[in-house]
This record gives sequence, C-alpha cells and structure tokens, in this order.
Amino acid sequence: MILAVAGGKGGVGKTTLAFNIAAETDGVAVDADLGMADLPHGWGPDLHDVLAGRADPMECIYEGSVPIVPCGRSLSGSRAADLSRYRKTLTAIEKERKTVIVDCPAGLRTDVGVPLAISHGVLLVVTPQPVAIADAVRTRELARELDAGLVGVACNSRSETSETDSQQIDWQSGRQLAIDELADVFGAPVTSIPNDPHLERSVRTETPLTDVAPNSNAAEQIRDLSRSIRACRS
Amino acid sequence: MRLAWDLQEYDELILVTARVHNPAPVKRYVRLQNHLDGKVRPPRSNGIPERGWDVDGVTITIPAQSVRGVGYACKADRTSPPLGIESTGRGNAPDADAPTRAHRLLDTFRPPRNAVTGIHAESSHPVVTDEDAAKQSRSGLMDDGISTSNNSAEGCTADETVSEKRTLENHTNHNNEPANNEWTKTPQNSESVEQNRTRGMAGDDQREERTDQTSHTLSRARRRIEFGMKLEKGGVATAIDVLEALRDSTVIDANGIAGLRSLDTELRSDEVILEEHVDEQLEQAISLRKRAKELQEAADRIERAARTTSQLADRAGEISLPIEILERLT
Repeated sequence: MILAVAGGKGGVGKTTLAFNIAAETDGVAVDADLGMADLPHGWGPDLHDVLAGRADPMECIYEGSVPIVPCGRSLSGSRAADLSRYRKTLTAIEKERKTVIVDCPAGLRTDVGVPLAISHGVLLVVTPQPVAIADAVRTRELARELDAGLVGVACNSRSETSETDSQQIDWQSGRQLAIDELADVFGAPVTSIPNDPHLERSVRTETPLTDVAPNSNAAEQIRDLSRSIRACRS
Repeated sequence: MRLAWDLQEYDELILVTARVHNPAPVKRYVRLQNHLDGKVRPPRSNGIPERGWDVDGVTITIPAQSVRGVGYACKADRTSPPLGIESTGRGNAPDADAPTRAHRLLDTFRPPRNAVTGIHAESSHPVVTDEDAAKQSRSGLMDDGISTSNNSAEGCTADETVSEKRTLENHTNHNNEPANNEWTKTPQNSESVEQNRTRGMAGDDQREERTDQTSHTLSRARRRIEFGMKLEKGGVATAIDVLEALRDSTVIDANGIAGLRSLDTELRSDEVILEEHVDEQLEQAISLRKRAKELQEAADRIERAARTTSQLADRAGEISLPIEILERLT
C-alpha cells in the first residue's frame, strides 16, 4: 500500500507522523519534500537521484531504525526531478516492502498532487487551528479529485487536557475546533495525537515513539492509526 | 451539438457562460476550447478546479437530448466567440490518469531556473519537460484565493528571495575557497607565480560573478531601506503613496499592512545580511592586500633577477677573448 501523508499547511507534523506510522506499519518512509527535505539523510543516493534517473529506488533506502528514502536538499536536484518517475519509484518500493508512507510537502502543487495521485490513500494531518484545517480541506478535495481515498485524519499538537481549552478563543490563530467538529468538517473520524516530547524528538533522534514511550497516549493513538492503515491494506 | 454562449464584463474580468445542447439520443462528450487571450479560471470546489477543467477549457459529458451549462472567468480582452467546440465523441468524456490530472490541475513545484543557474545548475542538466515549461509560463493558474494565490507576483519575489539566499550562501563558501587560499602561499619561483596568476584570473571571473550577485542583493536591500526611510520620515501623509510604490516594486511579497510587516521583517533580515557582507568585504580587502603584497614581492624578485641577468649580459658583452694572441702562440 502506498499512503500519502499530507495536510496542505507546513509545520503541522506530517513528517513526524509519517516517520512514526512507517515504524509502526513496518513500512518505508519516503521524504517527498523535493524542495525542503525533512527526514534524516544518509550518505547515499536520494529521491532526487531516483527522480532524475540516476539511481535505482531500492538503493536509496536508508536502513535506519525506520527505513527511509531521504530526499536531497539542493535546488538543482529539485529542478532535475522528473515527477513522471514517481509511479515507478513508489511501486518498486511497495513491491519489495509492502507499505510505503509518503511524506508529502506543504502546498498544493504538482509535488503534492503527483504522489497523491499515485497513492492508494491519504492520511490528512492537521492542527486544530482554522488555517491548518482550511488547507487540509483543500488537500482532501485534491485527493478526492485524484482518486486517493481518505484513510484518516490525525490532529496533532492537542494537549491531553485540552478538551475544554479547545473551546477557547485563541486570538492569534482563531478559534480551535473540538475533535467532533473536526470530524464533521472532514466527514471522517479524527484521531487526536496528544503532545509528547518524545514524539517531537522522534525524527531528529531517529527513535520511533512506540519504541521509547510505548505506553504513552500518543503512542496508543499512533498504534490506532496504524491499525486503520493496515486494515485498508488488507 | 449546439453551443450558445453569453459574455459579461466585470472590470478587466470576463465571465463566460455557455450552454451545450446534445440533440442525439445517446450520451456524448464535448471539448470546449477557450478562445479568449487569457487562462481559464474554472469553477472550483474548496480551491480545486472541478473535474474536466484545465487551463485551456473543459471537457464535459452531456446526457442524451439534454442541455448542460458551464461557466468560467478569464482576464482578457473581449473576443467573439469566447469559446468553441473543439471535438465531440460518443459516451463519457475520456479521463486522463490521476497523475496527468494532477499535472493539469496544479502549478509546477520546480524552483525557478534563475534560482539555480547563478550557481552551477546548468552542469546538473535539469530535466524540464515542455509541460513544466508551459506551467511556469502560465504561473498564476490558481490565483483565486487558494494557497497558490497571486502566483505571478509570488513567483517573482520568491525567485528573488531564493536567489538572494543563494548569493549569501555563495559568499559564505567563498571565504573557504581553495582558489583564494592559493594567493596566501608564497610563490616559489616564476613558474608558480605564472600558475597562480592563471588561477587568479579564473578566481577573478568568479569574483566578478559574485560581485554582480552581491550588487543585486545590495541594490534590493537599498530599495527596501529607502522605502523604510520614506515611511518613517513621511508619516501618515505620504504613507499611501509609498505603500503603492512598495506594492508595485518587487522587493517584498505582500501588499498593504501585510506588506509593511513583510518590509519590517525584510529590513531586519537585511541588517543581518548586510553586516555579513561587511565582514565579507573586509576579508576580501585583506585577501587582496595580501595578494598585492605577494605580487609586489614576486615583482621585486623578478626585477632583481632581471638586474642580475642584465649584469651577466653586460659582463658577457665586455669579455674579449685573446684569440689572436693565442693563435699566434700555437
């Protein structure tokens, strides 16, 4: 299964979730942010090289604690990337590793649209702020247009005791929405991922949350999400 | 198939509405092509163009003996007819595969060529498809309020911002360049001086290129500073004029109060960038002085060698061998 993790807005936690979901589903996390890569980078070839036809998809898998296909960080590498190679790349990895988690970039351009179009489903990542929700709604619309089914919605950065806080007015970012309101907006169940310092550090330290804090609430929610994804796969 | 159209003008925008009648007893599809000199602004759902639409028109399916209406906006001069039937067929409208639809719907993600060519992008042979080139040329397809809004203006300023950042990066790298370090070594002989001179010429070319980039960065920073000073000194009375001029310039990427905030941020950033340039220019001056000193020393050595050579030449000229006397003796 190829699953796109997208959300429209940057900084909502797409990469962190993609990394942790890949860990829990025994999948490969692909850093599809061709302009501003986020996942750790090894010394070998990367997604830029694959999309430029200079490397084989399988030789780009960096076998860390979670298998990752990293992406280069150069502008010239980004320009040289040919998106028509995406399908072959992602399906080749899927064939070998069964589950591919594609960490999509922010925005609504072809670098988001093409992986979405190839993916079997999309996991939307939002924060409760209206601006993030608006971007995620557009991304869901794009996914629908490109026939990528909505596998789930993950709401990041919600404090564990914020059920009442979420009803307060935040003058900086507008009113935050409660989980059931979010579910209404997306027409799908929303999984709330509580704040967890281990989760925030997981990508940087390359340690999945379910390994370092398996009993935390956030780890439980990630396992829940992963179960839904596995259910879609089978 | 029969096409009826109507056209309404709102300022510079034209709203085209059309009705297509399928008199046949079977379902048919039709491709409608925009004839106006501008890109189609299609109906959207949550910011995404509805299915069938692209930048040049729309392909729709019309049930048997039915009429279907479509409408779109276009920023162009009035042309008659604004659209026409390009092709028709039986059955449902053929649908491209999802990645192709993604390409049609969305703008390219590629960083602009200018952002890369200043460094050494050409050597990396960027792959740019015709479609991408076309996408870049018509950036602004989705300029009606979704996240790619105001693409043309945004693209322009984003390019320049990236270019500026690369310029700075380039300058930072420049401090550690081996080519420059060559000049800090003392030339051992005239041959090495010559080699270094050649390297120095290549370095000069690079330096000139960087100087161009620096002057571009500085000129943009200077314009922002001028805007900032006008806004600070002129007060409310002239603020509107200055803001209008600011909006027309490309030195910031937002309008109105947002533009003002953006200008403020850019000025803070300019302060840092300019201070780095000061350090860099001072280092360049030191490096050039070193180079001048080394060249001076090399020139002195060569002059001394020339004097020695000249003395040898004089001595060679002064020598008069007693050949005749010696011949007589033998």
